[in-house]
Amino acid sequence: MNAKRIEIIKAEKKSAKTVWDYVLVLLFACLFSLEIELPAKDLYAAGTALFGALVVSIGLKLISRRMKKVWLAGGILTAVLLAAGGIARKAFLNGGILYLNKLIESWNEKNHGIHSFFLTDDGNPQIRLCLFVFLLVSFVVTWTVVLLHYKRNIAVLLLSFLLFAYLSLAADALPVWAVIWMGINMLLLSALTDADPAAFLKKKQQIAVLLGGTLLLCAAIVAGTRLIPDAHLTAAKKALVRKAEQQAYGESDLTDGDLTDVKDKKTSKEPRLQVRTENEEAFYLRGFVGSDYTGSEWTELAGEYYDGENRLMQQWLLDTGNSPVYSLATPLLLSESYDKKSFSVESNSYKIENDGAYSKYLYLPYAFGNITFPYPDRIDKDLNVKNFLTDQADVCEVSATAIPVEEYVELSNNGALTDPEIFQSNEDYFLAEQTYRDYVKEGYMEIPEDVRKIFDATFVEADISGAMHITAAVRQYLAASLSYSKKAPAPQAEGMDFAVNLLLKEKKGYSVHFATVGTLLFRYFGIPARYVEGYLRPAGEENITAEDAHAWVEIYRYGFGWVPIEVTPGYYNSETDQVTGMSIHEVTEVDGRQALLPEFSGLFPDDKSEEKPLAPWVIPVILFLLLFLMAAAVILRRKAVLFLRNRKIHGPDRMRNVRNMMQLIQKNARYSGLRLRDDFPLSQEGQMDAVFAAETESSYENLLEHANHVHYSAEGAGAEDVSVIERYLGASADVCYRRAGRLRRLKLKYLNVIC
Amino acid sequence: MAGKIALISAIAAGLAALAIWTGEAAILALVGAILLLFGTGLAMNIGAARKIEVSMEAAEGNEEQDFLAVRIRLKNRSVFPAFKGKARIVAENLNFRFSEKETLAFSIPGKGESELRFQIRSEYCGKYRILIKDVRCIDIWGITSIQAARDLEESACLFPKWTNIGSVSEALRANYEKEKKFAGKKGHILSDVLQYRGYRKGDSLKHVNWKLTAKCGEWIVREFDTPVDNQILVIPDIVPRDPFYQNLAYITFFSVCMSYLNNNISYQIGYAENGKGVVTEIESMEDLFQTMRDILSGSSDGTESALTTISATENLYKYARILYITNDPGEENGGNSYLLGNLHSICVDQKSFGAADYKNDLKKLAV
Repeated sequence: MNAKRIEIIKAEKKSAKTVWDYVLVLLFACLFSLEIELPAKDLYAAGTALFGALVVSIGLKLISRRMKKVWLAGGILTAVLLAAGGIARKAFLNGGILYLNKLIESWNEKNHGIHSFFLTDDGNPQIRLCLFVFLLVSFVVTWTVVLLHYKRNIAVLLLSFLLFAYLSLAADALPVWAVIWMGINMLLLSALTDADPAAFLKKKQQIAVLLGGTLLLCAAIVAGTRLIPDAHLTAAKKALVRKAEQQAYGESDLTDGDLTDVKDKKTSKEPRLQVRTENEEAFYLRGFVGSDYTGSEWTELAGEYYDGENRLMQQWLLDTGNSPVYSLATPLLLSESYDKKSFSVESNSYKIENDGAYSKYLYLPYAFGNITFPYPDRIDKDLNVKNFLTDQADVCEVSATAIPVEEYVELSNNGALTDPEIFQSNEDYFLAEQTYRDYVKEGYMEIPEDVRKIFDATFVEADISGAMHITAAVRQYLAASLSYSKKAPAPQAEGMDFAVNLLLKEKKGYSVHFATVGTLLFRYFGIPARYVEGYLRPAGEENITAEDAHAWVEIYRYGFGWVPIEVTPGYYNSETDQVTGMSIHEVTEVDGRQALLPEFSGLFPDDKSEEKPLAPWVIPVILFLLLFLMAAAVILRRKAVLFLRNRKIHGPDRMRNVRNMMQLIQKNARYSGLRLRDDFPLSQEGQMDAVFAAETESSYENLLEHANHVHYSAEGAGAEDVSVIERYLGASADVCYRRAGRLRRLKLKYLNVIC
Repeated sequence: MAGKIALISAIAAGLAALAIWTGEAAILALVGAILLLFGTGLAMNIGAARKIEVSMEAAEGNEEQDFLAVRIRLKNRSVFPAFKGKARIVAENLNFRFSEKETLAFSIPGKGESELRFQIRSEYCGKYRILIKDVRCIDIWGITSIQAARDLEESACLFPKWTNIGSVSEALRANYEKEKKFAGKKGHILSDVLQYRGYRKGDSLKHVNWKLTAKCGEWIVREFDTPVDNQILVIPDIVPRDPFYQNLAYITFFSVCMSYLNNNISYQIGYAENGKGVVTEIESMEDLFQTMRDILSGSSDGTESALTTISATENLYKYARILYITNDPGEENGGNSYLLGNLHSICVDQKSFGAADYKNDLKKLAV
């Protein structure tokens, strides 16, 4: 007795996939490649929109196939979803990455471990690893869901979100591979939107797809990441971080360290900060601090933290109620004999409100003595203060003693520090300072070789010592070499040093340019120095505007701390800065590559060695090649299937040949939508009297006639039987082919290989 | 569904909390986007589900088609497409009390139609009830499902799978000839005595039973089961017993009927309906299907033989042949009410019928 007494047989689902689906998908992949290749911001949204379009293709296909009247509804739906997709993408770009970064940084701070797992130069291997793991996980998860549970809508959703995340993390770094990956996903997505994989893949095939796809993907990514130069990855990551920061913090008035394309100095009166204080003097509000110079940007200090055993100085400052931020002027407090009055130092309170300034940093005045510093947990690497992403500290209040700009240098040269009494009575402090001094010497003395060459040629016989003299020499040199201009000079060529370009070619600039060269020059003369950006509060002003943005230099005075030095002409009193006995060799005009000084000509990259940007035809050619490869793959597959089929039906065993042919006949009948009788003798060897049912075409009747007259014997099929069945197979394929529409014929011929 | 919604809500709430905690408007935007996506999907689904009309047709089988072809039409009057949907159906054999469940998937474009087709196949004939338990629309993300229709019912009969026994007319005619010849020789028309009664004018003297006449003192004549005409009456008496033999009885009955029809032999079918005997003339395939439909729709409790019921209203002597087909061994001889000379009674069970060679037994029965 049958286990199942009633059988409910569903009508076979016809797969709606056509060649056009694949063409459409390929088109999407092409458009995506454009989205990734072109860096303009809006294109990200456009690309996201296109991606969104594909995600809702299920809906659109349903709508557009039959109901032209409701295209409008489809359009509106698409627009809504696209907008949502764009927002999601942007949101991830804005929030996701930075928040992740913050988490990692805070983890690093707590654990004193690797800095910035994802987003620094050191992190390249990690980027690859993360990318690899991410793609792998997304691929496996998605396909597991799709193949094993057939819940394709959830799968599409999952896929779309994973791809959003993936795009944000990886697309900018790996354009070519991203395109390929995207293409794969698009193909899969297309397959999903039309039919359940269960309809065209058997269980084993599904597992094979999953495993094979995973392996292929691993291979592709491993190969891809090995081929991509580190510089490309680093640059792409930096660009991504910069873009994300811009979205999160607003736009910096100066460079925020990026010297690749310095803009003109802002002259607008847009509000930036509000400062309320009794101090009527002009003073600096310090923001960005650049410690390492790479030739195209100022970054924070590479290498280890001032931490661990070196933490003595910081600890001492904190323990004694001083600001750990600047370590400035603390010794003054120690000296009873120091004449504070002569420096007009008064303790004032400062309330600084961010009113539109770049909010990545806290803008704080240089101050000393019992400073009330409210954010000790925000001290970044080497005592810099950063305003982290999520801390919206618009108002910052400190109470401290600040010194007028012009008095800093003088202060640092005060003889009080040499008083032996101070050393004897504050041994702890000087021990701590000694450790920090070593750290500073190690970290803040680097100059690129190219720049050193220029300085060597300039200061041929210079014998300058003492901070006062060096400061004067720096100022004098900068005033002589560069002219002040609010208009930024032309940016340096790729691979060329910013300072070299400035000193030998452009010879003009504003505070950013002066401070950069000034910092390097201080280092050249043996004084640890760093580049600082922030705002210069004009005397008596409460509202600080965009035009008050300024850059200057900080130098480290042993036993004293970091001291701000003004190097931009017009911002200091030049009369007091004449250095006698200093000989400066003027580096004369170098126009392009025709250097008057032959030793500098090598500093300009040769035209021939310049890396050419990708030609506009490369991407279309690659895409064309991809198309070509796909077409070739289809043709090869067809040949392979035909070969295998022929081998199946022309083997030595006639009985097996006949059985295989009958299977093919049945397959043909299914493809052509014919109803088959249950007892179609797929596996029976005894008879073949079952025929296709309900077919009216006369040619088909003839086929049935043939089928009815074929007899098997117990010994096996005769040669005549085989030839009849073969004829029948050919005819069934003809019928199948004839009954199909134009597109379906293509599919039958090339994808299903019907005949 | 509740679980999925809870999961999505939890993710959205988590992200919203994160957004509030971090003060990052972008994450809030992401939450908005998620809610917007799901909200749009849900709204469209509700819009579609409320305007879906469902109708069902079931095509019965015929001499060639041995299955029920069911077609469910789904019409979406809303502009929103039903991206995905499920229809739960139950097919129940009312005669044998078997049932089977199935779920069918569909999608309907906005202002469009869709059709679900399926076949009900079974070895067991009978009257089938096809019930659409519910039709639910699932949103584009596969998270929520809304009911669009429920409890639609349709009935149709699945006729027995008959066995072709080939030509029976020749054999049947030969049997008649043989019987006539026998009657001519012996002076009897057929061998069995139906009853004894008083002499009526016109009775042949050959039929007088002299012994009884002597005993009774009046003329008693033998009345033979002489067929009045050549008609055949087929009586199925199929009661709920072992499903296999019950089904076999239906098949046997139907096969005999089909073979008579195919050989252009006119016959009648007698069956009990609501305690009354009904005899129907079968002249075409439609007649047979209609009668079969009535038989399958009616119910027999097996308390009284169909033969008994029919004999109450019908003169059974006039038939040349009565085929009495039952699956109840106790009723093999028509409940012993009558012992007619023209009665061919058969009980379809493993002992007496179809055990060795079903087709041959069937042919013997028919002729």
